[in-house]
Amino acid sequence: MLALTLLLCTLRLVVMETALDANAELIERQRQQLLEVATPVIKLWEGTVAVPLIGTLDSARSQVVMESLLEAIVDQRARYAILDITGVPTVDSLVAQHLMKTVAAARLMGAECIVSGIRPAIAQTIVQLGIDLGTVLTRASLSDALAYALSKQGIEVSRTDAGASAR
Amino acid sequence: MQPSGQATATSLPIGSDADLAWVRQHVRQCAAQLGFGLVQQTKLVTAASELARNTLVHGGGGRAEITPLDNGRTRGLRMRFIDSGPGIRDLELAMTDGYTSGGGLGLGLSGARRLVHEFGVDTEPGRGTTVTAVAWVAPVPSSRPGVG
Repeated sequence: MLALTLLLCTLRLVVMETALDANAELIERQRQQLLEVATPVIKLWEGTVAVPLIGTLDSARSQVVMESLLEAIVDQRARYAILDITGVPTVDSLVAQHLMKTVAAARLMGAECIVSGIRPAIAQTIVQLGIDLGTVLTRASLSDALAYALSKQGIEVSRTDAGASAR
Repeated sequence: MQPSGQATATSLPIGSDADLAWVRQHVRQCAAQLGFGLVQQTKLVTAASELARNTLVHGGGGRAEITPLDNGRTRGLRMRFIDSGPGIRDLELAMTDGYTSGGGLGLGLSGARRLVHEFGVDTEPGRGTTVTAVAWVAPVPSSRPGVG
């Protein structure tokens, strides 16, 4: 009787451990999927690509961002790359370092990198933290960054008469 | 420094990158509840992120203690990061801007100190390190002459 109870308990433990392992594996797989999903590179214009960064920028994610951005620069023959950090809640020294490395790598590929979407609170924090982003070109918003990239390429955006009257 | 009637401390483990995200989230939540402004919240979360990463990278993991404070005039938040790692041999050097032993920018300790109102490091080689950082909702004007 005791042996049977023991056997049943062991069996139950094994079943539970298997279920837990499966869960851990699922979480890990979803984490990996999230890494890929969360970093799309968008072609904004001929020669201009953008990466909207959302969430925490840890080492693993910034590696994925860098890789997909550099690939997009080659594929799209982009001269300008915009890193938008509007959706990044915290910019600490590690995140800043990742950003600077990405910018430096893009520069090596012949593309100029613009970091946009630095919110006022984050700007103040970066300054007080002592991070020097002086080498990085920054703009307040994604649209400012796009306007900069377009004007640098000699593209002018203007409102036509028809558009003006429609408003 | 132990005001009466304070709320209880929360202890969070620091053992992985995911734990760092959890610490940041908790600090942000606490700071918002205590009435910190958006800029102060961001500073606190950033300081917590730097210090918690130090605990993870240099201290080999440990824990964070987040305690809401109330000194009667204003409310504040105390963050304590505790590890039992190798400790800091030369604290003055470690607090220098740009000095790093871990391949980072070397702004973790020195930068975090500038983001809070009170800052203290208790360390002993071989025994571990405890970093304490306190911020108050309304900055106390006369409390930190010559810091910056």
